[in-house]
Parts: sequence; C-alpha cells; structure tokens
Amino acid sequence: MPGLPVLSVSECVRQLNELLKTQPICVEGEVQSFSVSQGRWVFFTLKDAGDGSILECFMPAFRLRLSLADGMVVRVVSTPSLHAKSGRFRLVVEHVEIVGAGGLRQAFEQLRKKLEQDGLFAPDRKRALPRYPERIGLIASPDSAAYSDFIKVLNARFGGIEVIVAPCLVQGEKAAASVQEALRHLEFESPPVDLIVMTRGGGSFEDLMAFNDEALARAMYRFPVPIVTAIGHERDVTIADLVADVRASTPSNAAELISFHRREVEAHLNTLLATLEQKLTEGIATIAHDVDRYGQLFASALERETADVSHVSDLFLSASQRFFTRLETERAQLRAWPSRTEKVLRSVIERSRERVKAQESLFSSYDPKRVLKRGYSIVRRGGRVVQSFRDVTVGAPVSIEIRDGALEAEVTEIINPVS
Amino acid sequence: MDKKKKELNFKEALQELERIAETLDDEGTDIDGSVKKFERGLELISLLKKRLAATEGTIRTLKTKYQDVFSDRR
Repeated sequence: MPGLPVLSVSECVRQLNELLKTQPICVEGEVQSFSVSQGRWVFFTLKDAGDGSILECFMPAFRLRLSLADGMVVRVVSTPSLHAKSGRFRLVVEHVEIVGAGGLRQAFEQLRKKLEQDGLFAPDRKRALPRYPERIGLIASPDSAAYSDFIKVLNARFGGIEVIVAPCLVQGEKAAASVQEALRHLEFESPPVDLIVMTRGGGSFEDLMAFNDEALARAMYRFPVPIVTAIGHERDVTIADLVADVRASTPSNAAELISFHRREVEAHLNTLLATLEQKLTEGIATIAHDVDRYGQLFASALERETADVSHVSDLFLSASQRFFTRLETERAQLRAWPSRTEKVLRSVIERSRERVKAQESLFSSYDPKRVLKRGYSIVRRGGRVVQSFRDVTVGAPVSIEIRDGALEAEVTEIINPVS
Repeated sequence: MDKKKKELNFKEALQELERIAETLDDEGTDIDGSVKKFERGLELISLLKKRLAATEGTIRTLKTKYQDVFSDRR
C-alpha cells in the first residue's frame, strides 16, 4: 500500500495506545462477570442493556472504593487501551460510580455484609459512654438544624461542657472525605475529647451516602473514644450508625444519651447529703449512748461496792465534763453547717446532755458524803464495810464513820430482824 | 494543684463524695475524723451544685478544609 509506514505488531499496539490514552471516556453499562484476581486486579465487563454488546474493563483493586456486583448499573471513567501481549481491547478504569438507587442499595448491602464479617459491628466492641463528659467532639454542619438542636438540648440538660466543633460537609461528593477529615482533627485534640457526636438531619438514601463509606467506617472503628451517631431519620440506618458505639434516633436524642439532666444529679446530691447527715448524727448518738451505758455500769457497780465511791464519782464527772466540752466545740462549728443538720445535731446533743445529767444525780445520791449528812453512818470492820450481820461477831472491833468524824466501837449484840 | 481546684472534674468530685458517704461511719468513735469527712462532703456538694447551675457550655470551632463554606458561627 503506497504512503503508509510499515509497523511491527508491538509498534502498532504502542502507537494505538498513544492515541487512545488521549481520549478518556465515560461509559455506562451493566456490570457482568465481576471478579478480583489475587486481591490486586479487578476484571469485569460492561454490558449494553439495549443490544447486549460488551466492553471489557480492568482496574487495579486499590482504585476501587466501592463494592461492585453483577447486575449493577455503573458509569466508568476510563482510558481505552490495547493489552500489549494479547491484543485485547479493554477499558482501564480510573473511577467507578454507581448509578441509581437500586445500585446504591446493592452496594450498601454488600459493604454492610463485608464489614459485619470483619467485625466492625460487633456488639462486644461497643464502648460505654462516659457518665460526665467534660469535652465533646461534634461532627456536623454548623448551619444545620441538627447542630443547633443538639447544642440546645445539651445546654438545657447539663451546662459547662466544652463542645469542640469540627465542621464538615454532610452530603455530596466531597462529604465522605470531609467527615473523615473532621474525625482526624478531633483525634488530635489536646486535651482529648471524651466522646464524639456525629450528626446530620434527614435526607434521601443518596443524601446520606457519605456515611456509608468504608474508609469512614474503618476510621470510626479505630477511633480511641466512643462515637455516638444521629444521622437522618430514625428509619435510615447508615454504615456509620452500625459502627458507632451508640446510635441515637435524633440529634436531640443524642444530647439526651450523653448527658444526665441536672435535676437527676441534684437529686442524687441531695440523697448523698442526707446520708452524710444521717451517718454523722448516728455517730454522735452512739458516743452519747456509750456515755449513758458506762454511767449505768458505774451505778450498778456502786450498789455492790461503796468503798471508792467518791473516787469513781469524780472520774465519771470529769469524763462527762470532757464530753460536754467536746460537744460544745463541735456545736460552735455547727453554725457553719446547713441549718437542717445543725438542728438535728443540737437535739442529739441536748438529749445526751439530759441523759448525762440524769447520771450525775444518780451518782450524787450514791455519794457517801450526802448519805452521812442525812445522819447515816458507815460501819467498817478491818477496813471493809459491814453490810450484813454475818460480817461481824460479838466482841469484834468496828470503826464507825459519821458526818463529822469517826468512832471506835465494839459489837456487843447482834440483832437479826428476820430471825 | 491550684489548677486542679479551679477546673472541677465533675466525675472525680462526685466519686470522692460517694466514697465519703460510704465510709463516714467507718471512723468508729473518732468523731474528729467523721466531722472532717463530713465537712469535705459538704464542700464537694457545694462545688458540684455550683457546676450544675451552669446553663451553657463553651463552643469552640476547629478550622477544617471546608470551614469557609459555612456562615460565621460563634
């Protein structure tokens, strides 16, 4: 043929590829014979739904960020090329996009199954939320109602919490990357956040696709603190919701799940205050009771042994005096305490005081000096008090202690009224 | 130590208070110990109630790549 340069086969392939690679194209078709070889190479054919004609497609696995399956309708952005060795024509795919909700749902299901198998949704991996978070990371669009609802309900329940907002896009092509970037920013916050809330308002299945992203799911799974999601309406479950440690139904619900209401906490504090008061008053009452008990023990000891009554009575009086001094010291401090506590403690102290006073009069009545003053005397034999006719014999020497002195005497007769 | 006192850690303060309430009667007849614990308990309750009275938290917004897409938020 005149004028045409003669090429070798490989030179022909090379020149054709040079030409073809300047012509990127976008092709839409149905996926068939999808397969992945050695985890590295993806092969499938695109079929024309109309007349059934096909084109072979090829791409390295790392470039495929979606789960594809036969039957899905997709659009591929690709470079046509001839494979050098086999001469086969194929499209080298740069980017795949699923077309239509049906395809999206299928991709969602596949990803869900895959991540479930990888354990990302495991119930025993869900972490408990801290009960009193001081710092919360919020991933949301600051313009959204979800954002303002969350903040409003949180402040209504528990104030003083620091909220660190990482703004992001929540739908559209750039959203998935934006949400992940927000998560990354919050990971490096110092001091660290106690938990993350990820939220956006309701939308269609397509609107929420950013939260069905595999890379986001894995980043959430690896995140060091618990994540709470509130994405879309209650019935819309996204992959992010499944990976999350806790899923809330709405942004307001998220605020409820992460915080106590200050009323509940106050009630708890009041219960603790009551416990403190009760235990303290019981403690003081126990000591007062002990004083009471010892007083009674002393009294019964006195009935048997009147020898050292004065000494014992002095001991008791000084002990009770010390007790009163202690109580008075505490009483002075009481004024600084809540008046309710003060009232209770005052009455406990008053009752103790009365009981001790009752013991005091009991002791006084046993004080031998008072007995002597009334005209009674104490008879002793060999230093020991004579309490019974059996303690002496006729002719025994005895000492008699009277109010103003003592007498030495001798028993001349024993009269036993009973006999 | 001053810094710690100014920024009350709610959880830690509440835990200390709960411990005190639990162990207040462990002092036996040592009324001094009980009174000291009681007073610390009152102090903690006062601090925690003050914190509960707060009606707003602080909001801090980070700079992310898509920051300027959003309207100005305080």
